[in-house]
Amino acid sequence: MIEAKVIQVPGAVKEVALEDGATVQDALSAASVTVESGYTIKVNGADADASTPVPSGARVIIAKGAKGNVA
Amino acid sequence: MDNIILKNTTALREAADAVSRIHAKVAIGKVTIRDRERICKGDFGKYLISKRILIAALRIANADKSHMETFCRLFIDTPLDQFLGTRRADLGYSREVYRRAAKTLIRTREEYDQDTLDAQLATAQQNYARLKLNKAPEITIDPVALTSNLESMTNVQQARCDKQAGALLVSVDLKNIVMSPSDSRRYALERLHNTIGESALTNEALDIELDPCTLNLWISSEDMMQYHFTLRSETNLKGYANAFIPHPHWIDENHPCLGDFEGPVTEAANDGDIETVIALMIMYLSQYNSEDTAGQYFVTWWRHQNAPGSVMSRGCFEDPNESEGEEDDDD
Repeated sequence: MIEAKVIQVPGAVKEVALEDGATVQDALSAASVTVESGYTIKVNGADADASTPVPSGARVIIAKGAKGNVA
Repeated sequence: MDNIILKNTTALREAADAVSRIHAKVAIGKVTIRDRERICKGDFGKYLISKRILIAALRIANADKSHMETFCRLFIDTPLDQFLGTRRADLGYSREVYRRAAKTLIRTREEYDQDTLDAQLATAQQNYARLKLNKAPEITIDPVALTSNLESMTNVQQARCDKQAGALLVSVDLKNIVMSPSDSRRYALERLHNTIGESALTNEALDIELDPCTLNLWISSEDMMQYHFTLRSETNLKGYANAFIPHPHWIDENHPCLGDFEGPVTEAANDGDIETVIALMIMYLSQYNSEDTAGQYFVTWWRHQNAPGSVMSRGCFEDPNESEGEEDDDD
């Protein structure tokens, strides 16, 4: 069993427990996050996709067209 | 280097205080509204009485003016016209007092609006419960492990952490950050075409590399909820509000406009999860929103990358006098 964090932008930080060898898709399902097209996915800062393996303690960040960076 | 302890006791206390304050406001609101309603009702009653007295006096005067004049002269030693004038003034005063009371009541009801207070209370209670249940009262940061974790991240060249004046200072030297549009690439490309007057650009032109920069994060040792960032770069370009800034959305030295990143960054910082904060900030720096007022200056960064001599840049972020007399060659 491994632990990971799923961070959605915009959204929140969720901690999930996963089976060894889990992928980004598993992490997103565990965090009840649905990824539509146009999302950028990073695992520990590196580009990733739904099939990317999630190591223990990983940070999976998904961001879609972040907006509101207006002064 | 010794471990660094971050506390969130202040945050917990403030969250509990916030709940108490709203509870108190709900209670005060009920009493205040009841009092205002009572005052308003009383003033309305006085207004009605004044109105009835004037109407009655006018009726009698119209029905039998001579009788009424005699009554005024004998019993109240006042001419009839003066008597009626006084009654009119009484009515005007009563009406004004009642109107003021009614306005105050409306303002009070707005100030203590039950739905608004319920929503504020729910948010405050949720925040308190989150802090109380999910957060340790303090966390211990191992500087060596933190530095190692940060340096394992993509785009991090070097990381340092130190304790300074009651705060944890984390400095991260960043490299190879490529910022891309977070909104429509088509729109960004159109803006780039229109601004530089060249149409042979492809989507790849929208990916712009930032010069190396250093991200600093301060978190108060006494309250993890208190934190701020700075971003230092050798290359600061004229962006939003004519400021020389290291990134289109970093609108002045201490103020990144985090937009959608604000929530997750705050949550991670409040957890003392430095690695997640830095990971999010790297992702934040790796994007720009070409549609907003700050992000539209991405064109300047594009020029700096593709025609470095064509834009003004300033190495020192803090010295505002250095640009005196310079002309903006953007736009």
